[in-house]
Amino acid sequence: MLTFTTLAVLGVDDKTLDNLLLDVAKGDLSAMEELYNQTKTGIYSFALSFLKNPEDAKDVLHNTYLSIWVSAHMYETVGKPMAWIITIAKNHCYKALRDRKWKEENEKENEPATEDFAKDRDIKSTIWQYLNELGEDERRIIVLHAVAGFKHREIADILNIHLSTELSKYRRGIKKLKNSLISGGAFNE
Amino acid sequence: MNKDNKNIENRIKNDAVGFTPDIWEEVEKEIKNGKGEVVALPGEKRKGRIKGIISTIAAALVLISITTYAIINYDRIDKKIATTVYMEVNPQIELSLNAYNKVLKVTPHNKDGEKVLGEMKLTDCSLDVALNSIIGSMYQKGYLNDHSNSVLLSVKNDKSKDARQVCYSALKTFEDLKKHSDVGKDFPSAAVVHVLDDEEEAKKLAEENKISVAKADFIMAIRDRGIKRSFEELAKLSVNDLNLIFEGLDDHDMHEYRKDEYYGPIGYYGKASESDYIGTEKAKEIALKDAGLKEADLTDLDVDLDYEMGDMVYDVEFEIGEIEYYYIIDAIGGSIFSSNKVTPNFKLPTQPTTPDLTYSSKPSTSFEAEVSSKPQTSSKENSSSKVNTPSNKIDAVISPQRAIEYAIIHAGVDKDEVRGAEAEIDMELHEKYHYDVEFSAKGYDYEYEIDAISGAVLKSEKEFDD
Repeated sequence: MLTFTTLAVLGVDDKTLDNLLLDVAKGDLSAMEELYNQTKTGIYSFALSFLKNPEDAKDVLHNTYLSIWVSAHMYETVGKPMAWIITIAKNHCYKALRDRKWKEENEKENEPATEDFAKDRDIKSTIWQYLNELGEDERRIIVLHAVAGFKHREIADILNIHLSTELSKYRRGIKKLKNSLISGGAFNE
Repeated sequence: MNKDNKNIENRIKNDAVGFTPDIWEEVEKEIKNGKGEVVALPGEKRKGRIKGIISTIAAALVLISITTYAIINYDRIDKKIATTVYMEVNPQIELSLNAYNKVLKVTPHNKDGEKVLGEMKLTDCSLDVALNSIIGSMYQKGYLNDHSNSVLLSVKNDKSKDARQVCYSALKTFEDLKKHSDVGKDFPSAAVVHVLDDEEEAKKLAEENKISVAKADFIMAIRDRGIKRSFEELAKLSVNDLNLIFEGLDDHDMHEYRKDEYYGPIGYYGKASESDYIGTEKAKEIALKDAGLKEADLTDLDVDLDYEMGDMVYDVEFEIGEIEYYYIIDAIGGSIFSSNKVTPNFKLPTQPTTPDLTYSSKPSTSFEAEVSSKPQTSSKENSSSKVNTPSNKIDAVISPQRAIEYAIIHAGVDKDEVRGAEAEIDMELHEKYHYDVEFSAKGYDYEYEIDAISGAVLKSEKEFDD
């Protein structure tokens, strides 16, 4: 039986999200909670694909929802609520990258950012290990397509690349994943 | 999307559901404490009340100006060519439309185009009426039939959004044509539309190859999407055959026209006729029978129509475990031009020479490719092409790892900086057996073709990884 969260990942419909955002704009906390439940996996996965660090991705997740809460009144219904939400998450990711760079340059003792997130004890996933090995865009594109449910053109717009570039990186990334799974004996798990 | 890709995506999704942390309590607490930061979105501004009023007045003024301009200049707008639609089946026709998608002019570009248009008066018609009439005429005159049912449209407008809108309207017209008209009843039509980006380049290639602009544009588009044939080879094919090759692309499905949805720049409706050829099912059956295998036993299977050295062929590839089979089947006669079985009986070495490849046990032995060649001549009449498969049995090709190493040496990069290296053997009719090698290093993506026997670099490409 599918759990609610799995259902949520399977295809959050835009109309529902639209309505939730409008309710959040009015200060409806229960609408905010439902919006959170329906979108958290997509946002977290996207942040993880960007930052490759579970702690940083969790911070982005946290900050994205706070930003949604205070910015929801600025959302204009154009039928693409998830794209609006992911744009907020993307901006937080860029901020996190800038902060990380500043820390690396300025702090004397700091732990290097964990880039091999697949070794994190909370993330036990063979396929995400292999995702980690892909190029930056390849990984982000696949996650946005597979988890957040965006279409290719939407992904090209979010990442500000040409559609043909997006398609070829998607194709290449998926092919590499498949080959990694096969050579790792994990294809038929 | 094919079954494997779908499975891979489902796994990514399901694992993500499992490890996504639940932070609602923290978020809720901070919301109640009044925390939160507005992150500026591109082009958004906060509107104060006064600013809102000013914006409303400004918008009203703009609307009045536009309306006034439109009224004064209606005649000028009405007669200005906003969109050009290049159309090809074999008859080549160009439609010039105004900003309201009304036809200003129709120009045939060959004798067949003239025959189709005949005495039709299409000026001032809407696009869908014009398309209906032209398609109807093509069916009546036999240019569209059950052997060749593909229509190609290339749409040029300075604003890509408007071009996409015209593409969408055209695809909708085809859908309606099939549903409501007698024409197309027995011969389901197939349409491919494309937003024409580079009209100058398309016209240049069209002239050089003596083909239409629509066809030149479509060939450029499918080559961009991964079809590895030269422009000149593809220019020889009919629109229907090009459409069949387009259907073989991995991401073909994502371009399908769906109601209320068209993202462009390329879209299609319907399916190209395959009735001149034996069909994908038959090609698959021939290959599996030859290999002595059943479809249910396979771990992967792919059948695509392709064009090689003057022949339309089916590329049939399948896997059972680690054994890969490659067949090339004559698309007309069904004879097997080539069959290859690749049996990896090697283990990768324990000391990696490139990172990111996982290794398991013993040092490598040679990688055997058993090649059984069954040279056949084409069963097409008047074909001047000869199939030229390798006739010697090849005992060994270099290992995939060796191919990667040759590519890295050629690229002049440090092996420690290499990421995502992979090599896949490619055995195509009439070509040297080679490895397709890909890797990234220092912000660049590299692609190589390495001769599978000698290790020589056959082709190399490098592009910035943006």
